[in-house]
Amino acid sequence: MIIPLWYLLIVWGVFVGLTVLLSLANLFHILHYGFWTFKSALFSLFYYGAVIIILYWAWIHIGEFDWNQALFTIGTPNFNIPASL
Amino acid sequence: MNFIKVFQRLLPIPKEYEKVALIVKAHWFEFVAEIILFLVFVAIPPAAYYFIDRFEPGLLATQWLPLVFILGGSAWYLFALLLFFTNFTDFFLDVWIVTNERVIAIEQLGLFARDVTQTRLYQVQDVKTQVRGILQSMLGFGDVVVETAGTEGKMVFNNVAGPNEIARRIMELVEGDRKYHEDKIRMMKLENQPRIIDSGA
Repeated sequence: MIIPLWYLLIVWGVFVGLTVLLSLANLFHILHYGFWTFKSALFSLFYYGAVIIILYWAWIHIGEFDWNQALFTIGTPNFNIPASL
Repeated sequence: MNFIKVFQRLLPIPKEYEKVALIVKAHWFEFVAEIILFLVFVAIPPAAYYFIDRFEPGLLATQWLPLVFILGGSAWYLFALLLFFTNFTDFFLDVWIVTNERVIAIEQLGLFARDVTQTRLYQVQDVKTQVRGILQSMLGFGDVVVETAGTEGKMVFNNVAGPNEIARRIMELVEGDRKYHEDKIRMMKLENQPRIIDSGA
């Protein structure tokens, strides 16, 4: 069984989704408890700005790979036995 | 800071006559350790790249290493930023509020935990300050310890700016509250005393 490289993208996507979700929980706490000030707004802007830049950078570079190639193969190894044997 | 929201969300029963006298937040120096931690996290991938390039440059020519740097590097930075943001929220949402009725400590513990402790001013027995170390002395911050008669025993304002001024203000409020309660009790006693009505007979 061939495990393609794009399986890694799923793991990466789940991780990115989780971090964004947890950051929204942070933002929710700040807004919900009435601590939305200039400092917290600036910090949130810095955080989400940096996240967007990282994801944009990753997205551009992800396109450079051939994601259909095999990451590894599970099962019986395919040995090439020399014809002389 | 939206105080109406702070009170509504964290203290659902504010008294009608209650007025906020002090809002105390931790000194910025408390957050310096988190900034240093974040900078260390940021520096690790470039440092790793530098050492690989210096000692094992052949690795950079392999097919997988760029992939590791893109997926791993972006995940690493997202994690570092999230940790930084969570630490900021933890720092920023810690607040101590002193009103003319009570002292309230709101402490954010990570993402999903929060402690709200309050004590009435008439329960306050003593207020002391602790400034320890060269940094606290130079930057003018320290702890304010409010000792109470309640079950909690004491309430500590950790690393707040101007601890002596805060302690003085709390003691003023405590004295004011004590005087108010003493006057109230005196008035009640006077009202309950039997009146002697002289009939003039």
